[in-house]
Amino acid sequence: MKKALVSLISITVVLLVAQIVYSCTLVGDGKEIRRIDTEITQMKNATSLLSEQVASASSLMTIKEKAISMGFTEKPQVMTIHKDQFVASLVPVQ
Amino acid sequence: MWRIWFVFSLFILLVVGIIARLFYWQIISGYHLKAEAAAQYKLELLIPAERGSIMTADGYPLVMNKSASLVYAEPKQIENTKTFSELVSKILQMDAASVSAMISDSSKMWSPILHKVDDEKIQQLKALNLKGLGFEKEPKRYYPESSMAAQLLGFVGLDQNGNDVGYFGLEGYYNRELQGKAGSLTIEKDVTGAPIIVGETTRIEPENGSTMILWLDRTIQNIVEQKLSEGIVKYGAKEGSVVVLDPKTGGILAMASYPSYHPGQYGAFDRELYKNPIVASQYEPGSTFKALVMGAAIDKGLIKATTVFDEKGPVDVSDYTIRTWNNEYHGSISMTQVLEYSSNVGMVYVEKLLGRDNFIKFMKDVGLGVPTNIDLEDESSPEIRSDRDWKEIDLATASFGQGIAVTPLQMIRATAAIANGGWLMEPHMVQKVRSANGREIDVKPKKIRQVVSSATAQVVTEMMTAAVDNGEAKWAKPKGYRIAGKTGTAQIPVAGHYDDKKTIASFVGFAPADKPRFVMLVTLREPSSSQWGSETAAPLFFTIARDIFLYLGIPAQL
Repeated sequence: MKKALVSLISITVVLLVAQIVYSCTLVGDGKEIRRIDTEITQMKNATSLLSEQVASASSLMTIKEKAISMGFTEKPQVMTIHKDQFVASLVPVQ
Repeated sequence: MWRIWFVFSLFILLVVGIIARLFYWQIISGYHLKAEAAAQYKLELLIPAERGSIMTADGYPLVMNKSASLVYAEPKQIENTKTFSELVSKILQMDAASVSAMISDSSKMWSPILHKVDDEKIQQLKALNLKGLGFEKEPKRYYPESSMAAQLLGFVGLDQNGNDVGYFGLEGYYNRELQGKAGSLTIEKDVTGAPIIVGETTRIEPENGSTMILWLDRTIQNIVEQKLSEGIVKYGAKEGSVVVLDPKTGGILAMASYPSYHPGQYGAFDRELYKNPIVASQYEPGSTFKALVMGAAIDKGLIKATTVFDEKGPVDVSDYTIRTWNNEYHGSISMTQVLEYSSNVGMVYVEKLLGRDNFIKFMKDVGLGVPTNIDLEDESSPEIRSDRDWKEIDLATASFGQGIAVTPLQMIRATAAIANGGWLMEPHMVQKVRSANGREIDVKPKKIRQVVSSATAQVVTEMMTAAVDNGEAKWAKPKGYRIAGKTGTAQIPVAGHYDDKKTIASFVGFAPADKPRFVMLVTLREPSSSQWGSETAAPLFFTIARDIFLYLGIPAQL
């Protein structure tokens, strides 16, 4: 009877200690989870901001402005060549 | 003995009364009481879902979300109401008195000041370090291409509860798919309303909205918008629209109207501009309708492209006289020449051959009188007469596109059937729907019916090509390309009669004629430089087509 009581108390103490240790670990984990959550939110915000910047930088209006500033013309000179005509013949002879 | 029974009955009544009361509180009012109790100890916060983007076929966003915030005040914590109002209103460009009114009620825990404020202003407000001023993330719509495709996109406004709702265009049509499903956070609160940290917390994650991937090509859309606004100025038109469609799929490659608005500042524009005229307005198609009627008669085997008609003068129908547009008559001409000369008299001949029933059936087959089912919110369809109401003169004028009304989309779809071997397609804006978890669902092209045979479509294509090569607009056609098309100049009905001076000039066509890559319809309302489609809408069509050829890499055949 006594032995059983001692065993029971021992098990209870071990379980209590285990619970305390586990809870302490969880407290740490919670902090870590919070940190990861914050990091995820920050990364989401950064991605969102980056997407916005990429979209803005790759908009046709921006591309057009840059292209013009780099010397590209808006109206390309297109020359259509007859299929029987040699390209070389189009070059003026000096 | 009776006293025992009396007491017993009283007890029975008491028990019944208690049971009835318990039934009332627990069964009838149970749900309501539970909710009331929960409201006392639970705090429920909505976690808004992020609205989906709208992308072009080439992967560029036309609409996406931008970081912004709700600016709110906590009146109890504000130290100096006057200074607070002045500083905040200055940055938010609001009236100081309005801000002051919002924060004057100190019994309020929380008072919203302005929704969807840009990050730049938020940083300025944060720098003030004001007590009682708070911010909450609240993304807003961002348009990287500015006002491009405004009328087909629609805009996002607020409903009566202050929630984001899409109105008009794609935002309206796909509002449910784009908005997603808001999540919630339920936490236990104490008597002061503050959350209990160790209390029970239930979090339901929001489901973000889906992204719509369109058939729309950003470059073609840009070409169309740029050339349309130039064309409006050049030809002095009041309004104009251009729609470009892929005949094989029914996908809309570009769609633009003038005047338009900016969806990000929709409040600053006239409400009349919100509706997309390509799907919501109606007009009389005029001569652009002739090619379709010709197709119906060829399909029935009643005429051939070479059938000769004697165009000797005006023709009388009922009490009316029908003339050609320039009152010139060419004697014996083929059906191809009827299209080239755009002969109204010739079309009346074709209509007579086709007969009342065939003609009415054909108009229904090409989709007149019913919406096209395009995935845009504002679509309407002008009604066509009931079968018994068609008089002889109505049928005669309808053969050259007067006296019937269509939307520009109905007109281009019907012409696209000629470019697609006679098959009428359902027009579509969205090509794919990408859910928040990355799963893509294709929206398959939908064939409606074959309105003419493939052989007929080929013959009509050749006739339309001849109409471009030899018609009134041949001077503007890009060299080396086979383009099938037809000009149209329809008078505008005003108070029961047609106004000679007011016209809707249009051109519908497709190219390259042998293997069409696109069908395009250009309409200009009341052009002032010339009232004729051949001198306004047709050259604009060819100008746009020239740029599309370059973009798609379609070489000229010399």
